Amino acid sequence: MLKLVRSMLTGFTLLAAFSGQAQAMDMAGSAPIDPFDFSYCGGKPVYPVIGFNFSTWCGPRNQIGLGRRGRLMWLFTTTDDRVHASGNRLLTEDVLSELVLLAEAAQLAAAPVPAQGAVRYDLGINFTGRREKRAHGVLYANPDSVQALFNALQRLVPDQPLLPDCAEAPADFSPTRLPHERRSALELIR
Amino acid sequence: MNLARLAMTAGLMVVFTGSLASQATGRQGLAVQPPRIVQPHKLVDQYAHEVLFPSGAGTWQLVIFGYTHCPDVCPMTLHKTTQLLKALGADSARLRVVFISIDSARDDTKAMKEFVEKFDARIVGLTGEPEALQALANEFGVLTRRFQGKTALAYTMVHSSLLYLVDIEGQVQMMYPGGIGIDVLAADLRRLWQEERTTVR
Repeated sequence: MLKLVRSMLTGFTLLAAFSGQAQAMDMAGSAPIDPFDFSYCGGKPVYPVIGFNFSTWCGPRNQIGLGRRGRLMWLFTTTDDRVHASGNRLLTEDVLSELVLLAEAAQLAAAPVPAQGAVRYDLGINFTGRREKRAHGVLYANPDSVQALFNALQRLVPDQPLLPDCAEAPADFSPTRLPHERRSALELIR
Repeated sequence: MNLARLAMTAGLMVVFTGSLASQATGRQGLAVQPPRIVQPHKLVDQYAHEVLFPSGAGTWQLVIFGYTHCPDVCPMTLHKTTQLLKALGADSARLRVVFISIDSARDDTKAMKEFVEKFDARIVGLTGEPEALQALANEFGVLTRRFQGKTALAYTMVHSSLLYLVDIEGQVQMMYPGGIGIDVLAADLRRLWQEERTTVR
């Protein structure tokens, strides 16, 4: 389990670090071609890497992600950064094909409309060979494509994240950071 | 139950239904929300006229990316759009089907003209400089990948097979998987146009 959590965190980090521009790429002639699927790699279907980080201002960070091979992973922590709930499951082709389409829409959608809300997210979507999508916004504020993708992923997770109410919250913060890091960042700005 | 958790529960109940149909609108495609404004790109149509895509069409546009040497998906999709135009009848004047090349090396205006005319002369075929085509593909988030064959021109392209519906203002409003049914597409378009009429009034 620890290994999986570590690989999940590495995945999120890689996702955050990736900022390449999509270009037409040459592939070896022997590589498998399935024109009905645009994300093949090494003979096995691959899916976009999706990473959602979300939290309330005073709450712990939570992560839901989809791995390249179609594995859903989640890691919900406590405010002192211990594991509250975590797990993973390999999704079926049917579910994945729906998620891929939702990710396509979220990738293509314009920037989220600024909104007020308690739960903020950082999102990364990385389709193989394409420009990575990153978004930051508020969950449950707009019925947009990012929200639809989040709902679809969340529905597949059996555990509930900790999203405590916070007495005071700034207009914006990073849900990817730990609570004390968020507070420090805010104090630095002040 | 705190507010955030309540919102999460409500959110869970709303969206993922196992099908693409939007509960609120009855549309069958996948809405792109907020709609994405596509920046104008200078391309060339099959008659060698310079055009600024997507602006200036004055109609809704159904956009497909592909290439004229495509052996399977592109012909099938274009055939489907031909059937769609027929199904729309008089309303087909409100829709422009646009086939955009991802293969500038082989798809000159002559090749584009020959290819789209195999299906329907109303289909607009757009090609252009590789940089312009790649920039446009990037903007739509379309994957283009080349599989090299034995000779320089013997290659195939792998590309996304989604269909994009662009509104009159150049915004991507909806997307559809390549396998979407013609009836579904036609019904969605009629619904969108009906909504448009209602909004205008």
